[in-house]
Amino acid sequence: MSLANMGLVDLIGVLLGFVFTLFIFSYILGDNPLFRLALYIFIGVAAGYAAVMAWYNVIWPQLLLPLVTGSMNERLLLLFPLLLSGLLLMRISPRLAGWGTPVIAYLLGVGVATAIGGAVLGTLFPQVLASINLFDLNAANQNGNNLLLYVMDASVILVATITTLIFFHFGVKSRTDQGSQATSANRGVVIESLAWVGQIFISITFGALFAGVYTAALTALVERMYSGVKLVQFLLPLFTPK
Amino acid sequence: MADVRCPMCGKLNPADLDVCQFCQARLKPVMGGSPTESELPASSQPSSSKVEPAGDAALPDWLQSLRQRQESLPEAAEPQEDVPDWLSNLRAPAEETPSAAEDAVPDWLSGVSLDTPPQAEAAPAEPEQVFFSGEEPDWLSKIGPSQPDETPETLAQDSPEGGESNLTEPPPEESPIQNEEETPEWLKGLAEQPGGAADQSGLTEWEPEGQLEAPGVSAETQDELPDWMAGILARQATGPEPERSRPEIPLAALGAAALTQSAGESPSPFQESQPKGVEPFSSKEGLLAELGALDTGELPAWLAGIAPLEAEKQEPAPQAAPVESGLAPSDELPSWLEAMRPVESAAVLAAMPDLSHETIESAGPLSGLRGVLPAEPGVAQGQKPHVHSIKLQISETNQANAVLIEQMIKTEGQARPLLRHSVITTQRILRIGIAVVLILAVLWPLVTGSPQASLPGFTPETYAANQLIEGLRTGAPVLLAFDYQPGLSGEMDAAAAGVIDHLMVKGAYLAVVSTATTGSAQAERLLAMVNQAGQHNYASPGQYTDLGFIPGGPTGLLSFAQSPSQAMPLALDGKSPWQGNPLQDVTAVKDFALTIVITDNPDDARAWVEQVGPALENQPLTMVISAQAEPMVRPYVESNPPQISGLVTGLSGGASYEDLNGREELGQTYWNAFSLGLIAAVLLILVCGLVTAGSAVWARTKETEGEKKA
Amino acid sequence: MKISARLFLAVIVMAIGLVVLLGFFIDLPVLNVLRTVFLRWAVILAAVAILVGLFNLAAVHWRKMGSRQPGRFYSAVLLISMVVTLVIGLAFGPTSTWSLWIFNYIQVPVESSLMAVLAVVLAYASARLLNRRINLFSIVFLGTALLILIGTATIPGLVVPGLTGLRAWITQVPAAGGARGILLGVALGTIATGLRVLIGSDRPYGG
Repeated sequence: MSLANMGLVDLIGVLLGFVFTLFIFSYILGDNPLFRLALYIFIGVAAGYAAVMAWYNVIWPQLLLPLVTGSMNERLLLLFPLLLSGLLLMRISPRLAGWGTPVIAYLLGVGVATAIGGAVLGTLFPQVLASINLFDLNAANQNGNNLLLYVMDASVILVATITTLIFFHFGVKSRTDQGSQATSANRGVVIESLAWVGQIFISITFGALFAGVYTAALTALVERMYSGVKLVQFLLPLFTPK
Repeated sequence: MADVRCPMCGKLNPADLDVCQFCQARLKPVMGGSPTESELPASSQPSSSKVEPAGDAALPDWLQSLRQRQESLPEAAEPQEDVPDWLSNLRAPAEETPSAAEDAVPDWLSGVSLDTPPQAEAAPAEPEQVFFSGEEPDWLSKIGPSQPDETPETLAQDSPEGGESNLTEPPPEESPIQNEEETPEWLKGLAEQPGGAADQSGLTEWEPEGQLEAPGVSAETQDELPDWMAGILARQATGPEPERSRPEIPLAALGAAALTQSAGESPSPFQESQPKGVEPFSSKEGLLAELGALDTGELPAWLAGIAPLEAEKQEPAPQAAPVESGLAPSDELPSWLEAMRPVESAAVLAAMPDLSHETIESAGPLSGLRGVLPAEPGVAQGQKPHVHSIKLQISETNQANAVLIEQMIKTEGQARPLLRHSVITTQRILRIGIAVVLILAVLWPLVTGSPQASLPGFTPETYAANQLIEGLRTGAPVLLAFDYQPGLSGEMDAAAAGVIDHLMVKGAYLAVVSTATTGSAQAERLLAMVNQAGQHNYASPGQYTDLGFIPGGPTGLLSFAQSPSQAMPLALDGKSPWQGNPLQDVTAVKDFALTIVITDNPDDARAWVEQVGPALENQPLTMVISAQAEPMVRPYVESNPPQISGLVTGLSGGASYEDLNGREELGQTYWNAFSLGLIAAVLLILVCGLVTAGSAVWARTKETEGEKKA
Repeated sequence: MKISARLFLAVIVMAIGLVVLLGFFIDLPVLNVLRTVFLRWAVILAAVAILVGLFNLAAVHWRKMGSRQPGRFYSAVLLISMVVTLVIGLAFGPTSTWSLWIFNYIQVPVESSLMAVLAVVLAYASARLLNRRINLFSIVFLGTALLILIGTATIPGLVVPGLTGLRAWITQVPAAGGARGILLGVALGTIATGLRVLIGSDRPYGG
């Protein structure tokens, strides 16, 4: 929406946004009250909007409204989540927080099972299959890839996958003499060497992640600068003599 | 007559009573020392039947009972004019009840006449039992009239220290004194002899009313008498001793000394250190009291000063009269009495202090005694306190510390300049400099429009996404998920604008959903932006519907994937989108023509792949992601079969996508500034990194050299 | 906590979790129905949990506002902005004009600005990285990041051959391989941790 087509309210909003942008940018000079003011306003707005969405989109239409307008079966079925919701709201009070523990256990049970199922079916099996199919030369031929380069890339990917897994080992820490700290289990020279190689690939991956984060941050900077330039360009004619 | 308060129980008793009617404690202390009767003050001279103690002394109960019994006995039973009352009191219980004396009254005392007051008839049994814990001592049996052939044992055995043991463990071979006939004559003589002059010592409370008489010890009884007793008798024979202060001698000590009958075996304890003027047995009550007090093992001074009698033995029965007759009124202690002084060794005697200056206790059970522990605390004794130097002993260390503290206190009041942190530091300068360079690099292209950077090329994944949308039919339901935060709306809006524009161009029906609370607002914002920029007429509910917010993360996605209509029954406008076109045929997520997820978080992308991906079956899943999520999402793209069919990554992907479509959106608008800013950032990181790394290496090198030189 | 209460909580977790997990692998109508019901209830309870978090945030800052602690002015600002947003959102709807005005001109600018400041901070931090630690891994990390960044941008008037291809190769081969290993490790860890919770070995819910 161009500034010229904006109403007064929106213009005020744009100005307010620009002011808040300056408040946040003042952090480059150091922490200051303006930065904190903008931050606390943002937290309040975000919390309030989240509660509005939770009520408007879930609690009212899916719990309370069917209890009033729904059929008998729906009402009976919704008594349980209503009761559980009441118990969960008791977590607000420190004295009554214990009543909400069964609800937490319920949510945890559902969440954990969901995570396990998704990890098995969504990541573990497909990614292992993908690692196996790295050397699918038929697919490479179909895509018209250079087979040598394809195999080399596949090898690098496979080595990176395996060595990274070796670096993140899952084991029981061995106990040393009493009083001393437990040390990790001795894994052997070969495993340790492979883990060191895995650390190299992890560094590459994290470097790529850092580059992506910086790219996103720079894009945000560009967007903020763009908004400011547009505002200045809109306001400048108002203040320049013709 | 005023009532007398009992020293033991504190209750009031009539003044004429000698013992307390409640606890049987002595109300009137027994007078100690050896003052003669004539020397006693008239008020202090006791009657023949009663003993008036000088103060509130508490005699042992057994002694009191003996005294009372003595007082109750008829005085005509024996020649009593010369027998001291205390001695006659001692004899009385033996005359009256010879059989009962075996259990109650000690025999040696029962042989001596005692005046038992009628009021205290019930009392005697107790004190007698208290005194004798076992059999009657031999020395008492010798004193008694029933044992003529008994020989007194070694007197020296009854030392002041051993007096107590002798009292509790009398020699078994000695037979107790049964009756008056067994009373030795010396003891009878003791009864006749008037007591000595009363003195100010502790003897007053136990001294009998009468005066001690020098026992007329016959020659044949000398061998039987203990040495100390013989000494006393001898002294009596030599004449009255000058008046002297009488140290306290407990009756128990006297009795203990009398118990031992070792004539000649050891020097009599009474002989060695007898203070002059000590006449312990000035009254029979005092003697009894002192005998009872010997339980504490204390050696009274008078007893220590008494010269022991020579080793003499005395027949008990026939000696009664000569003993009595031998007790002549005299200022001196009778020799036999002096012999009874339980002085054993010179060291002990020498250790005995002169208690003549000591005050007589007037309260408590030790009343009448001299030189005992005071009832009052030590502060009342008026002792001069020890003089301590008030000068501090200061060591050098203390002095140094004191100087240090003094300096610290002085500096405390002085104002010190505050260390001001400089506002501008090198780090802050560097940070400001980087910010200025970056902002300028971004601003310049936005303001001037130059330089123009070429657009990036599209990737295969971007192309695949483009092709998927291109293959949509008009009105095809497309599930569009807005799962990014407002903070990354700059990048995501630029990355997704081309995709949404493409969808709008294709006329797809958009079902908007989000697992973020701000998703709906983001969707409205972007849709409005693209709508305006692309000049589309997309409106809800005709062209798109906002299903709202799915809480619970992966759990909500799984619920939505199972049954979208049950998970999101109503749209954000409150109406059900599942009953009319085009969503009425959608019963599962796989019924959507395309699923596009716009997210900045790799975890959200993974959740969609894991939870919704399996439910899609063969339907494609396309993602528009942030550059920061690309490394973690790429494995899903490169899997075989691919789990993500199309991928648009960040601003570069969006710009390339727009380039593919030939439409200019935010991606291309931002690209110049983005590209220049990126180059500036890379240069800044390189240059500053090399400089800081070099300076760090230089600093470490210098530090190492400095350490080596050191 | 009593043994009976702990057992009750563990039974809840195990029973519910088992029903949901089995639904991934076994296709039974009864199981599907139960699973759907449990998942719907969980969605509703997750929304209620957002309300609980909001009340807790309000309580904390209300207490802070009433006390003498420094920063209570900011707590008051937070509470006021929260209440205003709640009132407007509940009264007019979350996608109404006024709600979107608050979102577009307060929330978006502040969050975007925070992200923009991150660009300066990250550049500063990466410039000082070699000052703190110089080893192979930090050099590999920084080198990879710089290569990808420079490969992403297009230098005006300058075309460096192979730069884009190198950037693509880094992201598609070594970085992807490492990411796959990380994803597999995360998946294995999720399975192990989840199973420990389902069998009652771990009780993060306070049992």
